[in-house]
Amino acid sequence: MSTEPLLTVNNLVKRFPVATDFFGRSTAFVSAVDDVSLQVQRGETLALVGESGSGKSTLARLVLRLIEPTSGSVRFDGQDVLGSNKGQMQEFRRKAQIIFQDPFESLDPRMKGEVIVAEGMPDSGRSKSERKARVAELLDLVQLPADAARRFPHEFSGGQRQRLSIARALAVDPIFVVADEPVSALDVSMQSQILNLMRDLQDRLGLTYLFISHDMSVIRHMADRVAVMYLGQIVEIGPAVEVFSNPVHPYTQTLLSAVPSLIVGGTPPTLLDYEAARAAIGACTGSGSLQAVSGQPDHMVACFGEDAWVRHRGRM
Amino acid sequence: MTAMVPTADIDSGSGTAPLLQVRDLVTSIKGRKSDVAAVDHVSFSVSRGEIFGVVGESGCGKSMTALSILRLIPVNAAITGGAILFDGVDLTTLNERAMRSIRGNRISMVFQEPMTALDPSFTVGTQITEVIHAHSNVSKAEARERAAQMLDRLGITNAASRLDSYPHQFSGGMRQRVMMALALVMNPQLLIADEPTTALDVTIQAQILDLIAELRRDMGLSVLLITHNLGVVHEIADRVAVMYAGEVVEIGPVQQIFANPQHPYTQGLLRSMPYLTDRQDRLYVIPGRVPELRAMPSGCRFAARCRNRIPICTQRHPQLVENEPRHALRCFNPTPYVD
Ligand SMILES: Nc1ncnc2c1ncn2[C@@H]1O[C@H](COP(=O)(O)OP(=O)(O)OP(=O)(O)O)[C@@H](O)[C@H]1O
Ligand SMILES: Nc1ncnc2c1ncn2[C@@H]1O[C@H](COP(=O)(O)OP(=O)(O)OP(=O)(O)O)[C@@H](O)[C@H]1O
Ligand code: SF4
Ligand SMILES: [Mg+2]
Ligand SMILES: [Mg+2]
Repeated sequence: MSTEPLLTVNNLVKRFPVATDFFGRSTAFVSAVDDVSLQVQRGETLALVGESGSGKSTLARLVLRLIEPTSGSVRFDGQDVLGSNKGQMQEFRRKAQIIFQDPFESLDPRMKGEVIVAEGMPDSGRSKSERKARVAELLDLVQLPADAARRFPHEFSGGQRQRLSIARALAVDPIFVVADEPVSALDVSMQSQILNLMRDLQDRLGLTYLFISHDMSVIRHMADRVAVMYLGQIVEIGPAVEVFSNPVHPYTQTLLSAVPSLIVGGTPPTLLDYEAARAAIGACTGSGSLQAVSGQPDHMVACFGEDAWVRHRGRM
Repeated sequence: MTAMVPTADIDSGSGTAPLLQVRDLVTSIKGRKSDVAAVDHVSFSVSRGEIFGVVGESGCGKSMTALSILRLIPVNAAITGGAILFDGVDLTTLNERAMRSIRGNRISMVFQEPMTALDPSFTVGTQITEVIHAHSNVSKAEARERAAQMLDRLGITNAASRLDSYPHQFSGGMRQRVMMALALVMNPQLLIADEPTTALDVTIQAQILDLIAELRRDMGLSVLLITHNLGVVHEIADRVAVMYAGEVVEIGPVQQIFANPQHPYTQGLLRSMPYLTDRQDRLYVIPGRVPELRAMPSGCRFAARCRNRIPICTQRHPQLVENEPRHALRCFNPTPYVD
């Protein structure tokens, strides 16, 4: 067993054209992902939080090579993903699965539930009836009705469709799952059920998760480490315990203090002013690069100087 | 102690006629052998300027209820009973032309999955201005201006320049806000919002809830808000209905229901919420699972999962009964909530 992280992302950039001129040439770009580097260890859950539009889903797609980056590199399980050949890509596609944010878009409308789930399942070592049984087991695991196997995607409720895509992702025995808002359409009991299931699978099979959610209490429950994105960049990253108890970046602080009152069991974090945060980071350069928080070497924060600080805080 | 009341009478108590009254609505799905009711005798009302929340188990019929009001249910479904009174007119009796003049104008809807409602082949600006032109007589420039303003109020940065982007060029949460813009741009009387904030972080969520509260205050907007987010309901809704397996099982003022949930299903929901402060090893889950639409028990539909079950629960179907003013529940054996 190597100690190399399962996933290593270096200086990943994705720019999208958002406007074109008369000749179809791109005239304006959005830097959806702007120089992101991170690592995910085997068996851990790295949670990704951030403002809507901050680049989380784009980063997820880049990591799985569903879109090509403008620049940067992705290493997965000892391999350079962007330089992989066809056979290696096939293997990668099986090992690394994604649960898409919008299940309606990602499910083939002409396929029945059982076909959707069985689609990527490895052929080898399983008879037809074993495959069928495995599909039924997976549908049951995500609490779908017994006739789900014979229904088309449009014949489910929103949350049922979301559970169908979870079953599909788990069907191929992946080692890495990118889950983009996987429980956002579920009632809290069903949500707890799915989160427990994901944790069980992780304990049992050593699965690794990149888990995207905007719900801080869900993140709190799932994450070993948390990365906070803002405008395409990671502005804070560290062990979940430290980020939750000692958030330093103003956007992280806002996220934790704005959780609807009902859900917060304790007191929201105290909001640091710029000077206090600078002191926490030690010698802040204001350059925007990630720097360690004093006394917490794994807890990194990007600080862009006082102006940016005031701007972020102005949003609250 | 408890009095049997017709459920349609459980309204906001404002004394004036509600804007929307859903009465004994039944929406059925056609099956190969027989039809099943996805929405089963559901009644509630929404007053003018009221924000009414609907929560409940995934698959319990919330979206189907919402789609029934606008008569946008799937082709294999049909409204087979009840009435939907909007400003005194029964929407179930209107022809398609009359319905079309109401949709997007007097009643608008934010759909649960944005891409089902947005047209991938037109820019977001075109889609919003089209709605404006369909219902009012303004110049092109004015319509664009209004569209940009709306997106801006919903927290889309550089709104004016993003008007020329296509839906697939937006993030999940941005698409949700585009739909919200489509729904709000004509100042409807009633907004039906099906999970409008699922993809939004708390800061933008707060901004949108503020906007809804503002429109309610300034324009008298009424809202039917379907959401799984109990925090959002707590924060913004006046009253809430809890649905389970096609039925309303508890309905009443939000403060009362959160402070004193009575139905065992409502209690289970509150117990299942993950907390921010500590990482529990396992989250609480309501044991068992929801019955299949085709195999609804004749007694209480929650009985198989209920800690309060007594013999009568499996023998008779509980009715919705008012247990304190304006707070009703469907349960033979309610007990106080313990966390
Ligand atoms: N195909 C595309 N073409 C152009 N711009 C895009 C495209 N996909 C994403 N973007 C833009 O990139 C930015 C990041 O989008 P992304 O979907 O990654 O955000 P997100 O963090 O997942 O947000 P949300 O929480 O709302 O889902 C947004 O400004 C979005 O409009
Ligand atoms: N077109 C359809 N054909 C057959 N069954 C359907 C169809 N649409 C919905 N259903 C079923 O009707 C029931 C109610 O669905 P509905 O979409 O109203 O649920 P919901 O309460 O909105 O759930 P969610 O919170 O998961 O979105 C579900 O059991 C669903 O499987
Ligand atoms: S009627 Fe009986 S089974 Fe149903 S919720 Fe009440 S106590 Fe439980
Ligand atoms: Mg996203
Ligand atoms: Mg729904």
